[in-house]
Amino acid sequence: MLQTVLFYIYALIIVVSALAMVLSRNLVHSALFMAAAFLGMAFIYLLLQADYVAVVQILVYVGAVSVLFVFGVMLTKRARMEDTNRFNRYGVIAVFVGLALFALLVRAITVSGTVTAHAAVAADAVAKAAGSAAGSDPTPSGSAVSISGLLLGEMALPLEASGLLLLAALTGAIALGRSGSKPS
Amino acid sequence: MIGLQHYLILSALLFCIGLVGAVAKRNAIAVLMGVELMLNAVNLNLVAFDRFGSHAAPLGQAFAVFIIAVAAAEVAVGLAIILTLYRRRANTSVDDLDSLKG
Repeated sequence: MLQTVLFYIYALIIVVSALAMVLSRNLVHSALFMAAAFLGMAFIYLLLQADYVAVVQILVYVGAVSVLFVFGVMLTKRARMEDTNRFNRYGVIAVFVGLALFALLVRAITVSGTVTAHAAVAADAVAKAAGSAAGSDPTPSGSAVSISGLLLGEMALPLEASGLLLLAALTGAIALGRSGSKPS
Repeated sequence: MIGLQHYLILSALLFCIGLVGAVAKRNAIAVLMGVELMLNAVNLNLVAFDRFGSHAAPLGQAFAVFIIAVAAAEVAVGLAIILTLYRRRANTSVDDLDSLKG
């Protein structure tokens, strides 16, 4: 029951922050609401028992990406910040398309309800079995143990590739930032 | 009882809000924020399916970690492009970037 209440509180925080991010006319407020939405997502991950992903979400999104966005806002500064984040001329169409897509997705999710109900029951059974098995074992087990085994074992090559991608992206960002200082 | 459907609907709502932000905003930084929100919605989907699925290994969480890494790279390059644009044109409005238009 506590989980239900917490889910709705976090979902409310996330949805209100996301809506405020899109609807705010001040870009600085948008960046702050985006950080709040990312923080709420981290709590949702904790509810889903994905503690490693939750910590990475806080470190990368709330810590790094939000600060990067704030730097971006500051470096492209205007005389007044109030009117920096307006809708373009496709605003009405975009809202219509967003609502239509949401209705379609909700319809698809609710129609496939029987399958997910079975899956949830099975997951609960698995969790209960794991809980009774872990009852004799006093060592705490988070998702970090199993996910690190997966990332460094079966997925070692994709992990190295993503490291290479990050290196290439950061080098590219530095190169872009340097060459822009003197327009050719 | 919170099931998979609740998480999926929350994720769908976030994706649609991000889509509106990415399509309908005039400032390029706000467009990038909308894209980030959509990527987060996808992550929530993956982690929720991982939690309620029957697979033993946390494959969905591993995919979510990879998506977070790619999203961080995307933000770095995207903001560098926006800063370069701002230096050249003193403007970050995506409506004005139509120099490829014939």
